Amino acid sequence: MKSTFIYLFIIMLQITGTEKQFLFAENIKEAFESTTLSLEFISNSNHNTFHQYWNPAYGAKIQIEMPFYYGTIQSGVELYPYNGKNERFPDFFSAYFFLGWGKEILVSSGIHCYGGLRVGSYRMSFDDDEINETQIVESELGVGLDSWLKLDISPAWAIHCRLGYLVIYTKKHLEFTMFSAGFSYTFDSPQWLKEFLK
Amino acid sequence: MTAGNKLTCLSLLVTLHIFSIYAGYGPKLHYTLYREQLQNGGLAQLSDIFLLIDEWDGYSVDGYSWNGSVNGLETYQQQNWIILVNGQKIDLKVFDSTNINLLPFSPDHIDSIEVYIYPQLKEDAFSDQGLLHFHIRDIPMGLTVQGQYTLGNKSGDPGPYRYTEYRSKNIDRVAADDSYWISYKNSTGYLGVGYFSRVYYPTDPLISDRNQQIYPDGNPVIYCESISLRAGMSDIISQPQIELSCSSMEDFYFFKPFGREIPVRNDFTFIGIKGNIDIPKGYHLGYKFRYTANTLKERQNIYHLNFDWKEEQYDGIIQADIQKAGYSLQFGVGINHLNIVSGYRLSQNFLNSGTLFGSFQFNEISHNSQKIDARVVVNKNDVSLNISAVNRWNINNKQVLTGIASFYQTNLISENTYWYWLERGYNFITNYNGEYQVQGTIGPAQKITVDLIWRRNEDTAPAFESGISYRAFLKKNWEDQDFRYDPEVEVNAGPIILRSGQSGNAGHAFFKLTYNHLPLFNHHLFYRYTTVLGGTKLFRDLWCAVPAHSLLYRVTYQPVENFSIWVMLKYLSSTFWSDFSGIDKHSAGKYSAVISDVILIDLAVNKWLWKRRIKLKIIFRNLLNQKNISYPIGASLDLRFYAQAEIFLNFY
Repeated sequence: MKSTFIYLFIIMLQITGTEKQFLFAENIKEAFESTTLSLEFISNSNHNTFHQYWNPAYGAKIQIEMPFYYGTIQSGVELYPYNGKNERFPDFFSAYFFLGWGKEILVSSGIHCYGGLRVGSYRMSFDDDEINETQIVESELGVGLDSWLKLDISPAWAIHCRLGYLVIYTKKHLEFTMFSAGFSYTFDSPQWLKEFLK
Repeated sequence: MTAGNKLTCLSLLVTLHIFSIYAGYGPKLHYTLYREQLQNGGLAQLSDIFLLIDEWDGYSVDGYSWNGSVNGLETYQQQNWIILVNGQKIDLKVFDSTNINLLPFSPDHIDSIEVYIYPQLKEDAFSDQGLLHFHIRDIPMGLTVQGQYTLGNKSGDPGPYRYTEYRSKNIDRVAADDSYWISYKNSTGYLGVGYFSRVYYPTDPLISDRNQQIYPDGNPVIYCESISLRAGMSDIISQPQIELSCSSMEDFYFFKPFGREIPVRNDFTFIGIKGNIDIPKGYHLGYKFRYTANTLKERQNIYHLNFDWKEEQYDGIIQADIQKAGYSLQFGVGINHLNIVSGYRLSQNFLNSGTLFGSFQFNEISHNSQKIDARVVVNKNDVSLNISAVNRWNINNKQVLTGIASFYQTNLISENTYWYWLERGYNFITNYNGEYQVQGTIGPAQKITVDLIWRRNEDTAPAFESGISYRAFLKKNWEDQDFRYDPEVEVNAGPIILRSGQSGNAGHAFFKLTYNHLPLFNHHLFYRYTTVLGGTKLFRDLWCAVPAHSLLYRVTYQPVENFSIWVMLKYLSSTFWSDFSGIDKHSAGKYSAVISDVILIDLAVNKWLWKRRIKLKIIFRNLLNQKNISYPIGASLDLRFYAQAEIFLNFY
């Protein structure tokens, strides 16, 4: 799995930009100039050992994206509840707070695609009164790949669908494939925010 | 060591010494880690500074406090490497452990670190095992407020699988550190005060059973709080500077004779005053006074183990510097009073010693420059001599060849080992049913080192450094012990034997390459090979615990001033720990005397905000999530993730 991540990262760098652009961070002037706010409905679509014990419900994601020195950075939270298949497996609620980076490409007029990486803290709150207080909430590192296809419907508004793959580094890893769809709104970043971030 | 080898070493020393009498000055035998490197590097906690020191070999039982060997100057058994903070020696060592996390500052307070990897005099200390000199960031004019918060998480929690057949042990955070600092400075002086808090959970599955067994009433946690004060006056003739700090750590102290961690409370206090008087015509007078107290007290544990130990040290030093056209001279005198407070009945509980030290540098003549350092420590029982001689030959304006030779004689009281106090009635081991044996007589040891370093430096090409080193250890006292696995207590430590009169010699070769590629990249490559050249069986065994091959590559990418990416790749070859031979079989593979070779990748991303008043950092350690053990019964430092925020506000 880890080698797959590395290969994908290298391939992504190669297909999404030239080395020169990356080295010299040619986006410097555009960095943080605009902000894209998006809201999505998400669904867990894979099936593995984890899903023998828990059923995924449906979740939501809110995130902001900004142009970076090269590519785009994103930050947000993904909220997702899981229901135990029987009383031995308590329900839990996950909140994945992430930072991401990737590169957007214009495919054709009004259609964009994106590939990138995300890392963050995957927080799990268990609905269990019998365990130690310190273990009711557990946080673990989550690393994922992220891709989306976006269609502009106006200069500011767009709709998009997203496919993501997330690995949570618990002792036995949790692996999720996430499908999501939603809309986004892009606006010029306020001057104070640009000065703060630059 | 054979008589022939001894003669060769002494001949080399004498040759270098004679050669050094020819000409002149000032080879710098240390390197500096500057603030920019420290800021860009992946430092989450203070002990992470070892990541930036190429010549540091170390091991950690819990992943938090480290024992090390700098540049092959000692085996892992003696921890007399030195810490200086703003020119004052900070004696954190208690028995044979130096826990750097007791220092009352966080990485963002450090301006630079001078790393001394060759034996030489620095201030009143002789760096026979290496020396780190921390320079704390100067207090700026006006009011300054500074804060830092670090959160670290280690992978490997059970997550929801705890409710299934895939359940595993819970692993807690590896950092929840915060620090706050406020200072004020005007034209007459400055004052700064700080508070620092650190939390670490030694709950890795390989050590948690031991810790939970001895500390059953709670989640094992290492917790440290420190307060610190710095003050100075600039309108008084000697410009006195005062530093005060108190740290209190609730620790799990690994005590090797018992083969396990012992919950302890470690209190550390430091009070230091120093000042300088500049006298015209190149003369300069300095003074220092310091008080250090290091205490190990009982912390709740099922065996009621209590070290009941307090070391107090009082030091006074006066030194003079003379700078002239042809030479510079530094010399001084120091006195030290060591006092032990313990419930154990000791035959001796204090000791006074005096130190004479001097450093003589010849300025450059005929492309050569020299430096000779010497120190004599005298006390009631002992007189010891430390000497080093350096010659630097500027072959041309790009190449330099430096030769360093040193002779170091230990002073038993300066070494301040557990064994010294055991012989004077500190029977902690036997009081708690441990066993020990001393073979021979504990006496002063000697060490001879020789280093030859070639450096090529050009503005437009990589800086290249390469060298060979020789170390001879004579009449050393080293521990020998046999550890077995016992499911009831995890590790059963056999009787510890101190074998005196041990000797051995080792050599190593290395190269370093540093290259600034475009202004955006800084590359650094280091490789070292070390090997035993001869010696007793015990020495050969001890040296097997040091990786024979170590390779390190660091790169910093900084496309704009306010953003950087730092990556470090490290390869360490496998090691063998003879004390644990056989533990593989008894523990059914849980522990092993052989530590496999490992490739580690660390990554740090830094972003400054609000005109560099705020800094955010994320750090990944062991990105490939390799099994990363540095001690046979120690924790595995698996993939860890840190998030860090710093704020620095100055109102002037």
